[in-house]
Amino acid sequence: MPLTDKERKHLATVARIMIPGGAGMFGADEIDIARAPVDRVLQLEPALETGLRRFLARCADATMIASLVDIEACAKRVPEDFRALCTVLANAYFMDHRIRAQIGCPGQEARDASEGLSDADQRLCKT
Amino acid sequence: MHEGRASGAVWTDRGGVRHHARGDMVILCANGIGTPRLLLMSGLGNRSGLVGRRLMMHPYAGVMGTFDEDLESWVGPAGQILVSMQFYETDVSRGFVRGAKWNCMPAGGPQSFRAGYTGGTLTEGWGAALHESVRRKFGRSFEWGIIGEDLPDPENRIVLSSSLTDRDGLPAPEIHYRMSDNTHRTLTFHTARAVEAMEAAGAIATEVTPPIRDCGWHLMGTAVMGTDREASVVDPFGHVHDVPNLYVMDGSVFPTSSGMNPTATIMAVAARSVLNLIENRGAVCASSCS
Repeated sequence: MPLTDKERKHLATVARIMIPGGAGMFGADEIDIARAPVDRVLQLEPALETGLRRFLARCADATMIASLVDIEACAKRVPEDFRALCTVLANAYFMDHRIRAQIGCPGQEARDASEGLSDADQRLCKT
Repeated sequence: MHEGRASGAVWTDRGGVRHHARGDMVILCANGIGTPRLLLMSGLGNRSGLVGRRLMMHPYAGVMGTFDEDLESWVGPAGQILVSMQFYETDVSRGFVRGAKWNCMPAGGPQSFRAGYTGGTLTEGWGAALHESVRRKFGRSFEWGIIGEDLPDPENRIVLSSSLTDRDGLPAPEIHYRMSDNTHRTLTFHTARAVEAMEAAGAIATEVTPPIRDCGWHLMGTAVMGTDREASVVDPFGHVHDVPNLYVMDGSVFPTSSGMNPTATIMAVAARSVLNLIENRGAVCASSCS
């Protein structure tokens, strides 16, 4: 079941604090992380949904969360659910093509394994 | 069991209906927890009292090194690119026996810096520190993972739970395991050497992952192999003592754990056991096989 508007709002609040913009990097807000990026992660790994929703239900009241300290206090109460939140946010953020471009990570690609090796090592590669 | 021989396997489908799969030969490959659980539930092969005992896992620690140069350490698979057995052999002057294997692990993608097992406070990994942390570590770090050889201890064991059952009402396996002092000393020594190795290679920072609690990814030793029926569960070909047509072919049969990832060895020992079984099937079957 897709996240509700309320859950997305709470998630965006938490994400804004955990992933601020700066140092030449987009923040969570700028890639609208609580929508398509998070949906993509949950589609790929539905098992994260339960923990994420539980964290949002118990700890992400937008009126209560104003800093990392607030989030950390919640995290200590529900560590497993917080782990799910971190996994969702980290993957939603770093799987975004704009973020990958910013950190210079095109993803895995085929490369010639013999490039830069000595002649002896190149011969080993061919055997 | 029928006339002292294994007659097959009883299994329950998702609807709760029991089935009996008949077999002339029965081979257990349910790993270091499942195999002793099945043997204990079936009351088989435990003349030695060792079924479920001597559980060995692979206690794990790690040292992450961060370097100034771009290592592109996110490229390629996350497996073990290199291994080192430099300090594996026993040297009693170190205060422990046996040793540990080091495996060189790439640091992985940027997600791994936020979801890894190194821990740390929230402010170290998220918020304003996030981008600096990724810039500093991403592609510029790798880990020496350290797998210690777990010694066989009869008190580390699998037993049938007296209170917990699975959904079919069968006793759940209960794990009793304590990391030994030898293991603690092994990992402490190796962690210190790995820090030195990182620093000698030019690491500008190191992070130690102390022995982690959830190290049960390799499960070995709970149906130990041996020639003495009173001191082992299976013979050198995985044949369960006292049950002519029952075999174990998984990591349960390991007498020792080594510090190596066990799958290749499990496969090699299983292949050897199967070849032996095929060669001797006639004698095992006598006149009872179909």
